[in-house]
Amino acid sequence: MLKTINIDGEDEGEGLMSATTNQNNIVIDEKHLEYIRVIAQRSAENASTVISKWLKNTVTLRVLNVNMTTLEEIGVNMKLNEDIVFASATELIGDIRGHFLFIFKLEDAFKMTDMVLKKPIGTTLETDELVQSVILETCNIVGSSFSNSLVNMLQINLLPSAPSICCDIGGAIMGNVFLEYASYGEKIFFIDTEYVHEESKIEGYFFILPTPDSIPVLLKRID
Amino acid sequence: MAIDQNIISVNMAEMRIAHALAFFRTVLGSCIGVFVYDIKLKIGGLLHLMLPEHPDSDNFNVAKYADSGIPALIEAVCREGANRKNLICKLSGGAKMFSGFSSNSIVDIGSRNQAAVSEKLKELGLRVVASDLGGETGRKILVDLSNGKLTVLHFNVGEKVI
Repeated sequence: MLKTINIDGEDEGEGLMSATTNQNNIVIDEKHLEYIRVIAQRSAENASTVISKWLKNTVTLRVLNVNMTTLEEIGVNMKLNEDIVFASATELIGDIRGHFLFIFKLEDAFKMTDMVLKKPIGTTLETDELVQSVILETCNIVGSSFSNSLVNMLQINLLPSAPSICCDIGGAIMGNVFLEYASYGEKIFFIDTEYVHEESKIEGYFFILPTPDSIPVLLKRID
Repeated sequence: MAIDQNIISVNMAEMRIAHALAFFRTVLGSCIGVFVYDIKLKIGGLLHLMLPEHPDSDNFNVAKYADSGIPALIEAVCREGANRKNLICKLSGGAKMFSGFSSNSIVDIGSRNQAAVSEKLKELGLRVVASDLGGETGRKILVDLSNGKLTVLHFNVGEKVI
């Protein structure tokens, strides 16, 4: 859900639109949140094309929300809270800092592994190195193509690191990740996108978590 | 794990109070679940705290922090009718999660939370009768208010009752 916050920014023409950040609060108005959603959706579409080619199957990445919300609100609506998931995270380095975070239910990670290895769905049943490789590579491909879109649109420098991986209860992992971002202030800014593979009914989530001082970069004007 | 009725979910930075025959349920990573229970009256409270110390501000969520949340939990459960003298305490959580993700500022928040909880409980003279803390994996917990049993499920490790 888009949140309207007190307006505290100025349109600077050619350059950056403003977003004010201070110790306790990020301030972005609804018009700017919508702008970020458009940028993110274009990047998600590019990432969809690239990952679909790799998997040789249609995958759709779609922005669900550009959020500015508290930990408490995140906790109430947390997706895959009690499910066992694979999570893969990438650190962002450059003009935008922060993380990408991928979450897949365990069963869906198994399905993706079967698809990549061209085995019948239902073959993979254990959390072995092959499953980890597939998830890491998916995170790598989606993260890189998403970043490349941002670089091209915004004319910035941005490099995702090599991803790390974890398998555990969804709520425990995500609680930790969002807690890290809560250290910046009461409100956490993040973009959540849905990763859907219609044919095999795979669903994942791809979170974009920029640090508060990186948000103004997302508001750079594009043609 | 248990009968699927009257199960109260306690989300991040929340505190809930209930009587038997309810259950509390929550998922814990580096957060700590503090359960206090009047064993005679079967009234209990579960606090899902996230951080050790509250900020220097007039306006904050009391349940989010160990130092403000634990006293508030005891006060709330006693207001509900529990007897302070009969209260026992059980703890779970405080893991070091997803070490590949953490930056320096928040590394091992689980340990910091454990230390803060321990200090506050000692200060308040509350008796910890059981705990399942630390490690590197998340936990799902279910608390039975009819008997104070806390069931912990670690992914890949299994279930235990404390």
